[in-house]
Amino acid sequence: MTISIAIPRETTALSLGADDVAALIAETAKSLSHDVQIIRNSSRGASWLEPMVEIKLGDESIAYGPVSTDDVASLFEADFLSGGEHALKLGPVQEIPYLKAQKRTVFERLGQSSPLDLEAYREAGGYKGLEAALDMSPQNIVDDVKTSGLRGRGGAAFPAGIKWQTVLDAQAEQKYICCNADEGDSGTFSDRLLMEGDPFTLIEGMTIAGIAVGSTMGYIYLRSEYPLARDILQGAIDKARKEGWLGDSIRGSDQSFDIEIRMGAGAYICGEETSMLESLEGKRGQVRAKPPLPALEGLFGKPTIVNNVITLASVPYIMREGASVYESLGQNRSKGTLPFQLSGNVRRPGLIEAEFGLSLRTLIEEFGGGTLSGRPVGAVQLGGPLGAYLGPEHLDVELDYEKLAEVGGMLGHGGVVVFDDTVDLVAQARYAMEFCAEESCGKCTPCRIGSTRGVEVIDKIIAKQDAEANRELLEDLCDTMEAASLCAMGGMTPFPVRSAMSLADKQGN
Amino acid sequence: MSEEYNADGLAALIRPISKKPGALLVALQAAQKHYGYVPKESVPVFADVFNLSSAEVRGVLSFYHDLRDEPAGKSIIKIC
Repeated sequence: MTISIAIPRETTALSLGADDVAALIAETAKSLSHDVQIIRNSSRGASWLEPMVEIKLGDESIAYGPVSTDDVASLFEADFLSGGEHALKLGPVQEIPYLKAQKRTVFERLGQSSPLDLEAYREAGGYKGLEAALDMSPQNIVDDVKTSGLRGRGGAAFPAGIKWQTVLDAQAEQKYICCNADEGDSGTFSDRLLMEGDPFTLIEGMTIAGIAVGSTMGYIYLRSEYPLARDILQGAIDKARKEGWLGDSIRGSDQSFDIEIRMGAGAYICGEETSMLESLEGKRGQVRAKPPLPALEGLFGKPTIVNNVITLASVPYIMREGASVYESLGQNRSKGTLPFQLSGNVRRPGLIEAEFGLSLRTLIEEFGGGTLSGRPVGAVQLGGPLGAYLGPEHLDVELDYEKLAEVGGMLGHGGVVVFDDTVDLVAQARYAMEFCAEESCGKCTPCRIGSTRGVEVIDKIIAKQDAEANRELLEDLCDTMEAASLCAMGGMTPFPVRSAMSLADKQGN
Repeated sequence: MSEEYNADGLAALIRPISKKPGALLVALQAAQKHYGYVPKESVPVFADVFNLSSAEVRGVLSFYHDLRDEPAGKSIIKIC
């Protein structure tokens, strides 16, 4: 009997040697005359267990990890192909506490099969959302998205249904669906995991969006740092087209929709929606002033939905399970789940999809296992390079959009970067300004020049040169950037700067 | 592995791309993949094919970190 072995083909696992492990397992199995079939699935999201090898035994998958090439011989000796005992044995994959404690909606299928296995996708509930949408009126689809309470997962958390309604109501010959996959925030990787692990979910979500607002063309703006995601996504798009899930008259209906991938070129600012539209039009990625809203005048001047990967990928679940099921998850006005991405100084980094409302402490201590260095948490940066640093006094804050805003933080795209108490927060503040100076598109003065002056001022503070006056100057500069920048780049850089500086004061360094 | 730059070859490479809407960046990326970089002297070719000014092409070429207008070293290291 052929034994199926799943080994991830996903960037994190690959960087930890998954290809070599797969090759060695195949070679060893052959030399020992074991009949095996190696499936390249995706990571389940527990990055700290990669490369994780799964053996399919009946309905169960027995996991071993993290496996290096040095472990392969002993795994065969322990008869891991029959689920034998070994120091690396993790047990049935769905019983791994890190995964079991999660609530997965968007990532429900992550790692279960090969990402390009359309049949497996459908068996696991895939395309049921689109099938439901094909029988609904556009207004009903948009109403469901509104009822679900889904908010934009790119960072701004704008209600998705309201954006979709604006595009639905706009009159135009052509409308566009643009998926923002320019995931440039430090410490974020959920978009990548979804595109590498379950690309059909994104394709399905974009297709539903197209049907909902009367658009026949979608673009995925993918950052150039994600070549594997591009290959997998392109493979999925080709397959969906071949099977009639994309292209003219989708599955025999009178609906048409197609998707093209456009690669970014290494500009962080192109994750800002208007800058992304400029880049998609082949121009310099400089932000546009709003209004007009992209929903009314977006790509090529036409009404456009710009949504993040996770926002669009949340929609199939909502259409399949019903808006009220999604709406019942989460708390306050933060409905559903958020894939948190835990990294930095933490023992168990990875993807943790959970309902809104769990505490930062649960995330870092229960899932993350505390800091890798074993020292106390000193600061946590939430929401990427434009998000605030929170100190240890805020570890019990419940993670939802509203509660975090109360303590001056933001969730953004769900990145959580942990630092221990040796972090140099003034250096982090300087880094935030430096990052802004490097990545500013240059269109507005507060961001372009303010960030450069900001680095200089912080340098003076570090050198204790007129520190008090320069501290005041920095606050003033932050006020200007916050109030007068065109977009979130300059407007939010003061968040990490101010929060890091005041935490540094508190911690007395 | 990268081919030597010549204007006719470039025009032939990017003309089909130019039929797609807003594809200047796509064309620049294709040229860089083909030649290893986007030679400065190729700017007028892009301008001609895309019916843009050389300044506009130059503007896009200089904006993006990934694009380079001179040959790169043997190894490219990216940190993200």
